[in-house]
Formats: sequence, structure tokens, C-alpha cells
Amino acid sequence: MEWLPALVLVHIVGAVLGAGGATFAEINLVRALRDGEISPDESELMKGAYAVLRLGFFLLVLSGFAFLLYFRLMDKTEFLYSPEFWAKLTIIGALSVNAILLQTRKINILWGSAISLTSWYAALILGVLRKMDYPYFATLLVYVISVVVMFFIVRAVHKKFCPPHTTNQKTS
Amino acid sequence: MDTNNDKKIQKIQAAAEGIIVVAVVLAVLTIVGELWAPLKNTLKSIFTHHWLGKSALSIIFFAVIFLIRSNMHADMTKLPRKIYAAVWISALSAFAMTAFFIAHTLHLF
Amino acid sequence: MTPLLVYTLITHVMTGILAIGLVHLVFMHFLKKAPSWKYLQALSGWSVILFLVSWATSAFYYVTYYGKAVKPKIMGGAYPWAHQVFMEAKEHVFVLLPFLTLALWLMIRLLAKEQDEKLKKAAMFVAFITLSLGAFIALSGILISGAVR
Repeated sequence: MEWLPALVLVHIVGAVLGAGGATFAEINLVRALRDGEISPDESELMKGAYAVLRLGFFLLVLSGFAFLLYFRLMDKTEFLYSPEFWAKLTIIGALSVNAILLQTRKINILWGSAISLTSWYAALILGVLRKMDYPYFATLLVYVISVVVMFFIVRAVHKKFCPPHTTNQKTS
Repeated sequence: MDTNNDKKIQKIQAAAEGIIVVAVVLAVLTIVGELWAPLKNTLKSIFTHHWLGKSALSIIFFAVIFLIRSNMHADMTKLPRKIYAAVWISALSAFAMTAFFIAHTLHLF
Repeated sequence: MTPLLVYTLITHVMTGILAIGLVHLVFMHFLKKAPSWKYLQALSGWSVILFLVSWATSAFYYVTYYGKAVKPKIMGGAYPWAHQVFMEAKEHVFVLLPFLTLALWLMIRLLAKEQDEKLKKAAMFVAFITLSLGAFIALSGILISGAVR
């Protein structure tokens, strides 16, 4: 059986669920904060989005390591030292740390949302732009700039749709 | 306090102490083994491979300490401190071994 | 590589990653206001079993194949430090993980019956350090595999 198409499919599904989950988590958050507080129903809706996001993360990581095994067994290991692969790993690492910081309320929700959204879409984009050999630090610089830009976008959206003083609202 | 919970507390204490010993023994065997060939060779001759020897000794040390200490009195109030000690010593052991191999590769040892 | 070695390597990597993933779930679940202790017991229990399986399969692969077939390739290639630093560190640091997750499982079993805030924080710390060491080991695995050319 040819495993590569199956691995690619699971990896794509993981990335899509993650990016989709992060997007809907943010949409649901903004909708929930429109009236200044998060009701139990709204909280349940967001929990659903976070569950999808977590499933996406696990599928991404599991299939990612399955790829590693596949390339190792096919003797095609050069990819494992490529700059864009390590940039993607760094971004997944940032995503993981961000999740912990958000859960422990150690990061502002706007920055947390910005990092989450940017990281998921960056993982998707880097997956599409394979074999382009972008330098590691240049990729990360673009990523950091994108996070900052995303922060201002998320902040503008919250300013427009959410009442004042709700940007530090804690999610359930 | 419930006897069942007492048993659980004893087991956790025993596990924490077992981890402390394993972490120290592992770091010592690993670092000394690299610096002093007879130790590594002895492990190899007994266990067919030095790493198998370290794994086996880790299991043996943990099992012995766990079995002995899990039947001895344990104080719930001191349990968190023992756990933190076990975790910090494990982290230190991991750091020491990694730092050693970096230094060894750079021919500092 | 024989089919047995292929399946051994696959089992070693996937059970290891799954175990680390479960510890990650345990840690994140601890951060909730009201963790489900039954769920945490299952997650931590499975992580112990998976780490033991990963340990056993790594032993077979390492002793019967890695030393004579893979290590020479790495040492003779462009990245000998992948073995000298990362493989050497990984194979020893890994030994700590099954014991740490066993302690975690035992702590969760007690916390399910007797709530203690200090013990809960200690258990979270165990999960966090296990996760950190696990992440280091997983990344080391990538570097080692990538150096085999």
C-alpha cells in the first residue's frame, strides 16, 4: 500500500481543522463578547471550536511524525534539515506554547488570538510552499511581522464589534 | 484518613524517591561510563550493551526502592516537596547528561 | 532493514509521540477549573504503557540495528553531532520518562479521591517537565533521522 497519499491527506485535514477551528474560535469569541459577557451557550460553542482545533493539532503532529518515518524509511531524509521544515516546526512550537499561555491566562486574549490565527495559517501556507528553500530566519521574521499585523486586525475587529473593556475578557 | 489513600500516598512517595535515585544513577553511569571505559565495558559484558545495562539498572533500582518504600509511612504534607525534588533532579540529570555530551563532542572532556 | 525492524522503528516513534501527546493533554486538562480525574487517569495510564512500549521497541532497534547500520552512516556523514550529542542525550534522557509518567498516574489516582491543591500543582509540574523532556527527545529524533544519508 502506498502510504504517502494517506499521510498527506491526514496532514492536510489536521491543518484545515486547526486553521478552521482557530478561525471559528475567534469568530465565536467576537460574537460572544458583543454583549459584553460570555453566556454558557456561547462558552459551549467556543469549546466545540477549541476541540476541533485540538484534534487538528494532534492529527498534524501525528501525521508529521509519520512523514518523518516515511522519509526515513525511503532514505529521503534531506527534507528533515530544510529551513522551511524547521520554520514550520518552530511555528508549531509557538502554537503549543501559546495554547498553554492562553489556558493559564498569562497572555492577553488579543495577542493569543493573533498568534493562534497566524500560526495556523502559516503552517498551511508553508505546507503548500514546500521545496521553496526560504531561509529559516527570514521565514520567522515574516511570521513575527504577520503576528503583529494580525494583532492590529484582531484588535480592530474587537473594537468594532465588542463593547469597551471586553478585550481582556477571559474565555471559559 | 482512609487506608486506601494512605497506600496511594505511600506509593507516590516511593515513586518520587525511586525517580530521584534513577536520575542520579543514570547520570553517574552515563557520564562516568564515557570517561572511564572499564565501567562501560562492565555494563556491556553483563548486559550485552551498555545502554541495556543502564536501562536494566534503572528499572532494578526503581523497583527495589518502590517496593521497599511503598510499605513505609508517608506524610501527605511532605509529598509535594518530594515530587518537586524528583522532578528537579530529573531535569538536572537530563541537563547534565546533555551538557556532558555537548562538551564531549567539543572535546572539552 | 528487515520488516521486523521497520515495524519496530514505526512502533517506537508512534508510541513515543502518542505518549508525549497524552502527557500534553494531561497538562492542558490540569489547567481547567474542574478536571475530569477519570479522564486524566486514563490518559496518564496509557502514557505509561505507551512509553514502556516505545522503550522496549527502541531497545530492540538500537541494540540489533542502529549501532552497526545507522550510527556509522551518521558518523561518516555531514552531521556526526546528530549521534554524538542528540542520540546519546536522547537515549539516556528517555529512560526518565516512563518513571515520571508512572508517578504522574499515581498522583492522579490519589487526586481523584482526595483533592489537594499543592499535590495538584506538583502533578502539573511533573506533566510539564515530562512534556518538555519529551519534546526535546522528539526533536532529537528528527535531527538524528535527518542525518542518516
